[in-house]
Amino acid sequence: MLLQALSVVLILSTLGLLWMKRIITAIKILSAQSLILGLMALLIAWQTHTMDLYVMAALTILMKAITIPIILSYTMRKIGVARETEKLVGREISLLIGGGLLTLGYIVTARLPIAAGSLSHEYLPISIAMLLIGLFIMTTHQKAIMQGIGLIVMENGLFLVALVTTYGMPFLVDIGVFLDVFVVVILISMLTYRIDKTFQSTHTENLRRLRG
Amino acid sequence: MLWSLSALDIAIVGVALCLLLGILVVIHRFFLPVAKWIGIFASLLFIVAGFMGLLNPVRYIAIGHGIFNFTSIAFRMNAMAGFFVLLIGTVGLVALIYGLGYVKEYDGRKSVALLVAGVLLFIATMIAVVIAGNVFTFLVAWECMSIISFLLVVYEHEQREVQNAGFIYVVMTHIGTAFLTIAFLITAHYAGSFSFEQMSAIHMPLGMKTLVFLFAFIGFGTKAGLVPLHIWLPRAHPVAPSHVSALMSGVMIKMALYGFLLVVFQFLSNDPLWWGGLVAFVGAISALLGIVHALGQRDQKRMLAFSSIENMGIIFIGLGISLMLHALHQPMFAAFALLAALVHAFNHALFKSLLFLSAGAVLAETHTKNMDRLGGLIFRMPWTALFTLFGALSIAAMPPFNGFIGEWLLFQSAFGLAVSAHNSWITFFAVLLIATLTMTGALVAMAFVRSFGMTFLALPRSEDAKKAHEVHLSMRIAMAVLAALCLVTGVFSSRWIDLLKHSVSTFTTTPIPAHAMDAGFARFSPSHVTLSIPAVLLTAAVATLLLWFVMRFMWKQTSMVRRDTWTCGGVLVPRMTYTASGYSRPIRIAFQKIIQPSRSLNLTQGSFYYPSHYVYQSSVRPWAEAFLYQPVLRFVLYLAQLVRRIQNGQVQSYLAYLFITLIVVLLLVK
Repeated sequence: MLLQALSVVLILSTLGLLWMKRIITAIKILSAQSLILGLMALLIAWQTHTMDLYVMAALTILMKAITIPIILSYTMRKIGVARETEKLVGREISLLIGGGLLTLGYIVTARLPIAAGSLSHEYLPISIAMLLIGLFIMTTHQKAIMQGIGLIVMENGLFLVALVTTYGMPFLVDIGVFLDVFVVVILISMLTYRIDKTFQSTHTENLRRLRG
Repeated sequence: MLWSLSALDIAIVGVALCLLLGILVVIHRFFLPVAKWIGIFASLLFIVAGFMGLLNPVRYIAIGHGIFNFTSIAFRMNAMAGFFVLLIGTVGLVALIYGLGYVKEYDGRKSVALLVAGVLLFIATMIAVVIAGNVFTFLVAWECMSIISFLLVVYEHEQREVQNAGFIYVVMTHIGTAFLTIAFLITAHYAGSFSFEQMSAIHMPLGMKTLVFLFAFIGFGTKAGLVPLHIWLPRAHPVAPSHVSALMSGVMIKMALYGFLLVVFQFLSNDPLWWGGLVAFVGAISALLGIVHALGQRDQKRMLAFSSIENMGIIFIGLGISLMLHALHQPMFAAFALLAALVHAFNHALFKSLLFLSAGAVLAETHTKNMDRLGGLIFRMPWTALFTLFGALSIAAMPPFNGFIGEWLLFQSAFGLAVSAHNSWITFFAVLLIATLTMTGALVAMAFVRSFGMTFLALPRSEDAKKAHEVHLSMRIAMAVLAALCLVTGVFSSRWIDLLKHSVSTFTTTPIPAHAMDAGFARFSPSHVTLSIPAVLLTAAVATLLLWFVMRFMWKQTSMVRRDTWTCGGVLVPRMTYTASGYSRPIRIAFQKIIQPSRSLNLTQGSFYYPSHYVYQSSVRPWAEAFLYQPVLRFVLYLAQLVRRIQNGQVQSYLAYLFITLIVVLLLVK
């Protein structure tokens, strides 16, 4: 029951990312989303008595819910407070497409032979929708830092897929993924900072001139 | 100890030596003097291996087994491979000797070590191509050969012309290799093995056979420089250092011949009639267009490169005739035509290398390849002139030189095709081939009269030509060896052909007519007329002596009197002499539809009525490029422009492509 409630909040937070105007708010929502994910992992770990999952849940909360948001907001402070997001698609349309993607998640998973009542039957559509929405955020936003946020949303989606289908990936793989995400966030922070220093804006439009 | 080794062992030792030294020289130039002499030693090994391979039976060894069956390295030797090893060894030896003196041209200006290393690696990879024992080894060696020859072509890469030539060469050769890879993989699939030993006369559907044949023809035709795939050849061959040009024109394009024989004669074996017809037709077109273009060139080495296209055309005419005769169930004549093509290929390697080396000698002394700026060199470089004359007579198929022998055999094969077919269309085709051969022969003679005359005779037309003197001893030795070989193989042609005859045994068990120099086959020449070149030569010599004796002593004629050239009382100046461009003008006019000559005369100084300075420009436009390559190129560029719109440099659009692809895949996957 609790798990279901958490998953509803999870998908709401993901859709909320599409509605947000300010990057700082987006980072806070991301932090909340990761925290919920961590809690879900904790719950599943408690239900299935998997030792690995406790560690993973702790790591998720520590890294994604605390460290990464801190790094991102630090970067935001460095380049000037509370910039607004810039999108190619309006908020209303984004939200609509977000809903469409959620539906797509349900349509796609309905074709899979999954036993009713299992974890994946309920949560796989959500995780796939998270993946797609993450990618959608990366596609439509023009600020470099939002691309990072989109990536983390995608990563969260993937984590959820692994969680609900196989109770987490092999421990080593998970650790590796965490490291990757961490490095990516640091890189994106540095890149954002550099882009801002060079162009006085974090607009990825500036990168267009790099093409051959 | 040497005798206990087989031909293949010796060849592999030679390849290993060349590769090792090539790499050592690249690492440090300390090895340079060693490498030069070891290279010559390795070439001698190749010659020995070639002779042994020609005369001794087959052997096969695998050196390294890869993880997959496909990637093992294997070599094998048979008479055909022996033939080509002998060819590479001979020309390689001469090129290395020539290189000893020729690289001085580059001393201090360019890295000599790289050039020497390149030549060694080039020879080694070519040997590896012909002794390759499976598909993988062959393709790897082939690709290495192409890349090393590309590097040698762009040796003087600071010149714009060289860069362009190198680029076109590398593109064309890779297109060719792509076709070859497909052809080899299809054959290997049907043979069920990658080893050449198990890949003979494979059973496969006719459609697949035709596909393999066409791909092999395109792939090897690119390397052989057959029209219309020849465009790289007249660019790349002239700009390389001259002994590399000799190796490329004399030997590397023969690798295409070897590959074609391997695929079409060994793998595919029995064939429909039209294959041979196609090969002979393309060969005939190449021969004619090649020599017509050669006559339109002022650049000595470029002229020789076009002449290589012509000779490859002639060789492929021979192969085409052989294939047709095979399809017509005339195995003996087919074997004979194949032999004719091979003999001509070897002869071409000898005289074309000789001509490239002598062009290089002239280039080294006068620093120009433009025949219009040469002249009168026979007094300044008598030895080079003599050797060039040998080469020119040889390529113009004058008896007793070896060029005559090959063409004579080819003519006989074409006549054989004409009389042995019962279909009048085939006879008609054969007669057309004979006409092509005849016309080509005449034009070749003209081209080399022009080349020799404009370079060595008359008066020097530039200051550089006046200051020339005889070249380094090693270069003269190299040219002398080739010139002597041209003469010896011509005079003792029956021995020579008897030796080369072994190579044909790889593909056919049919005995070739015992004495291949019989004029006409016994079946349609009842009188058994034979042509013995030494006898003809002896007769001619005796007759000349007799005539001289009669004139000198019986008619009391005194020796001739030398006088100055009559110039209507004026002073004799070099500008009065014929230039190369002037000499070939009738050809440019007669073939203007093909070579599209353009000329312009512009007044640069003085008034219209009292001109003091004119600029005359004349050029020829290559036909294939204007009508075949330009439209294709434009189309490809147009497509590229279309594709470029996708590539707009926006991060978001790349992500959007990903996004859309992901959704489509999700919806499509069941």
